[in-house]
Amino acid sequence: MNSLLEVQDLQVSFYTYAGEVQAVRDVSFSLGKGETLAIVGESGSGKSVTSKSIMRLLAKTAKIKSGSIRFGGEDLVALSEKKMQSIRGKEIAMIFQDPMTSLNPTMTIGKQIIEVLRKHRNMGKEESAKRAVELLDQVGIPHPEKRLKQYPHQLSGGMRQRVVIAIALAGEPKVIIADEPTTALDVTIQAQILELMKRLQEELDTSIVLITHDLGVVANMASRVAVMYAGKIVETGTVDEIFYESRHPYTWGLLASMPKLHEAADELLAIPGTPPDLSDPPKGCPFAARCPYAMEICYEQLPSYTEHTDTHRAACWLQDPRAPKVERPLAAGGER
Amino acid sequence: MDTNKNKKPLVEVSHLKRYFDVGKGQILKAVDDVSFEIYEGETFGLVGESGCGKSTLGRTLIRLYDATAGTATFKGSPIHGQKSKSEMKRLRREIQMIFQDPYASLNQRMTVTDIIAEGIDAHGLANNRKERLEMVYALLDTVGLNRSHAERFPHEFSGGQRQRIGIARALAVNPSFIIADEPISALDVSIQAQVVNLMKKLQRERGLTYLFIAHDLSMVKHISDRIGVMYLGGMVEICESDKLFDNPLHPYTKTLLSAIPLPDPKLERTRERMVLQGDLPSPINPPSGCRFRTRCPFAMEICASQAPKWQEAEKGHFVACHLYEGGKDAEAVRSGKRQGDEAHELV
Amino acid sequence: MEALFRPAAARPDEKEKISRKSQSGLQDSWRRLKQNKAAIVSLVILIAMLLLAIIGPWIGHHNYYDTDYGAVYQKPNGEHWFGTDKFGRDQWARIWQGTRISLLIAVLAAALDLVIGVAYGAVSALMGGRTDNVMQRIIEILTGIPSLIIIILLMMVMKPGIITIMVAMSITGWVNMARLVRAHIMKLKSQEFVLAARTLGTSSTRIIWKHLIPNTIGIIVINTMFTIPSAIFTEAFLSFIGLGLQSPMSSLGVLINDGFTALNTQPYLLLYPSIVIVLIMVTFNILGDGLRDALDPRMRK
Repeated sequence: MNSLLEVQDLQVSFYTYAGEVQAVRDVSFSLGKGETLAIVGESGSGKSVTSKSIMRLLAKTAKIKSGSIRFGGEDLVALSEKKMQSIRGKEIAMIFQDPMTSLNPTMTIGKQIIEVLRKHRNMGKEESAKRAVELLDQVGIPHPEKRLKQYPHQLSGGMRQRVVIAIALAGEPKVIIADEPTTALDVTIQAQILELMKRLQEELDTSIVLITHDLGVVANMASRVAVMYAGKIVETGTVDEIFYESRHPYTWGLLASMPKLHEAADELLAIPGTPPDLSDPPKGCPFAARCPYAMEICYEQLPSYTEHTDTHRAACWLQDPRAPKVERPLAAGGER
Repeated sequence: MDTNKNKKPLVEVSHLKRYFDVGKGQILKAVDDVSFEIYEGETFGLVGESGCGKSTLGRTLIRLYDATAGTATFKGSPIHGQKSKSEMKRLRREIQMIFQDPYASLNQRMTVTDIIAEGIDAHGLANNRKERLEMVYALLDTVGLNRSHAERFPHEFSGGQRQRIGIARALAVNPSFIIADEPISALDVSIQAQVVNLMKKLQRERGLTYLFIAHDLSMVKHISDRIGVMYLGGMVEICESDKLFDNPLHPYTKTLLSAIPLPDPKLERTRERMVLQGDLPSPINPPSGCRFRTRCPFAMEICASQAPKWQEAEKGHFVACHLYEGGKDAEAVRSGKRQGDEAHELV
Repeated sequence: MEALFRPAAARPDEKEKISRKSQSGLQDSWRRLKQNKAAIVSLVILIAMLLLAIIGPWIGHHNYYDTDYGAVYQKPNGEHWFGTDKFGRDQWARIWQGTRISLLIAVLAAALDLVIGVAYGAVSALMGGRTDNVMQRIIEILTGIPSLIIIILLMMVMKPGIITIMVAMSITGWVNMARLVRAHIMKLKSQEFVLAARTLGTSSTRIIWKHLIPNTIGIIVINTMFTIPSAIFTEAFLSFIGLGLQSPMSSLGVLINDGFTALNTQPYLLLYPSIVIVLIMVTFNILGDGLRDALDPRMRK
């Protein structure tokens, strides 16, 4: 499959008073046309930093140390800021978490959409106004003509997020990066927005990189999943492979710690402890200190990836032929 | 849980109202006539989305707000109203709260020791510094933190650790009833499990009663014995955890359950959803009759003119909905005979 | 089986370890301040000025009030480092004496502002409701009256002197602090850690002293950093228009007034006091800005 976006060996660090914080360490993944790749991880896993790196929207204290991000035949890491500006919003668009702060409170909705249309699609005044109404309609906002003149604070959270999606679509991007797009929304509104995103993806064949910590959302939206922990991708696979045939103890922990609505469980298998401090990352596997199956080698050496199928791979010493056999726990999709 | 029938309730709430004056003659009805009971030793889950009033209800029960109308009693005596100093002190020891925001719920300028010992200091539970410190160490131990953490400051801890500090602080005065106001909403999933397991353990060991306020139904189902669902200031349904998921009665509950994405791709691909349309009405100007009727897929004529009565539809299962009050219309809608709105079978 | 693949011994400390050194909020703020070059330079200059104000009048050959009609209007030289004025008084001594007086007045005025303003703002915020409403309306009335006019009127009515200037400036100066403190405490009141203190049964007094005030000190200090230069300026202005201190007392304002009259012929008489006053005001402001950034918890990286 031809990949639209290919990230290779990305390394991103923050330079703070406490030293260098290695937020993203050797991350590689690819995104194909029309597919949704979910990057799952908890806070501090590096998933947000990864998505911001693709857009080159990192804070001044952060630096892409090495690696490449190939898109449309170019390496985004090497591009000048000017060239990036022609890509942002046009080829790759981003949706952020909080609809309250991602819209300019002093500009009308219409103006914010039209701004994108005029810059990236070179539309004239009348044409862009018409298209803006079309976009608002496409994202399911009732009475779109009236909304053009309204300000963000006059809309509810769900409506605002729809506007954010409309703005993202205005440039007709090939890739949309959605960073926790529904986390700040109520669950019933979240269902609306997820439905909307799926419908739009079908209609427009856009590829989506979905950053989230909610496995339910992943199961609902994603075709492929990459699991991140402490700056590294520990497992990648199709959504079925990750939920039913996962191989990494962290993925097991994540799956097991989610209460299942349709099953009763006595105790949630929590992962004890907290993620490692990335200003002083452990030399071995970052999950070793919290892993119930940790072996001596896990503390000493970083595990390499083992390919299980051509879509499924995981980085864990348990997969080494010399390691003891460990069964996937029931709570993580294991066999009964 | 039929054992509840023989127990006396620990907390009794009767027609409780909490209104706010938001200026220009407008009243925000955050909690609008809510009645329910919480039994000793149980975990009562309170769920609802933003604007439903669950947080306000929790804060009113712990007397951070006064009640605008109605009553709430704890162990038989009223929570609100005039109280002597010693009565207030007793109340403040018996009922405690765990807050939502791990960053804002701890004073940045105090050490962990001082934070946890705040209740100990306020009630004079320790005789000297040494005893105070020992009590703090014991509490740190109970919540799974190290003694070395005692002299550090909140900003040095992760969210989950801070929540545990908050729990330790609440436990320091030995309460019998803890109101947990969205204690895990701001935490990562695997950390949520840690905190929830801790709370369950503490409940077993100390016989605590919990009011667990949250918007994440899956987690609430896991920890609660009974669940109450709120919408726009009113309680719409109460029943046992398991029953709620197998047999939800109120249309809002059904849509809520239907909206939750499950971590099971095969299920997600095949299930049919009942997606709620539209937005939440304003709590300053709620819809007439039944609050939910503007978004209800089963709305009937009577829903606009009359508010539904709060009644026990089945044993231990309470609901406020015209569909269960009898009547021809209700029967027609319930059996799917009547046209009008989606009445899907839910997974 | 290789030894490396045997299950590892549990390392419990690793799980909850905090690697970084413990830092209180204060240490963290100091570190952040140090990174602000402009603020540190300002701090150094300010300390230098302070030292000169203290010891300046004593080093140097003359005191600030001795007249010497034989050495009138001298340009800066070895004998009189900053020259002399029309009475032959040594400018070096006069300037540092003037700085002393100006700073003294400004600091005392700022302190009075602080005490009144913090008390008023805190009471207003803590009482809330109608009391708060009434107190705020009073403030609005006070701000409606131009403060400079009040000060001028007072100065004309009362006997000129350090205390009078201080009182006159404080009569309306406290309003700003009161507003800031009130706004901040209102915000703090609804923060969860204060709610927690209430649910724990902490007495109101304790809440004020342990929770509200420590978290308001930052605002108070920063605001004071801006009040001081404003007070210096007001005093200078009053003295300049003749309503402040009188000769032979010297303050920066008096000196500027004196220097202004001789602007065409002896520019140095105006130049040096002007430089001093500008330096003091600018450095206070830059330092105040730096402190505000350093103490803002949101900007912590």
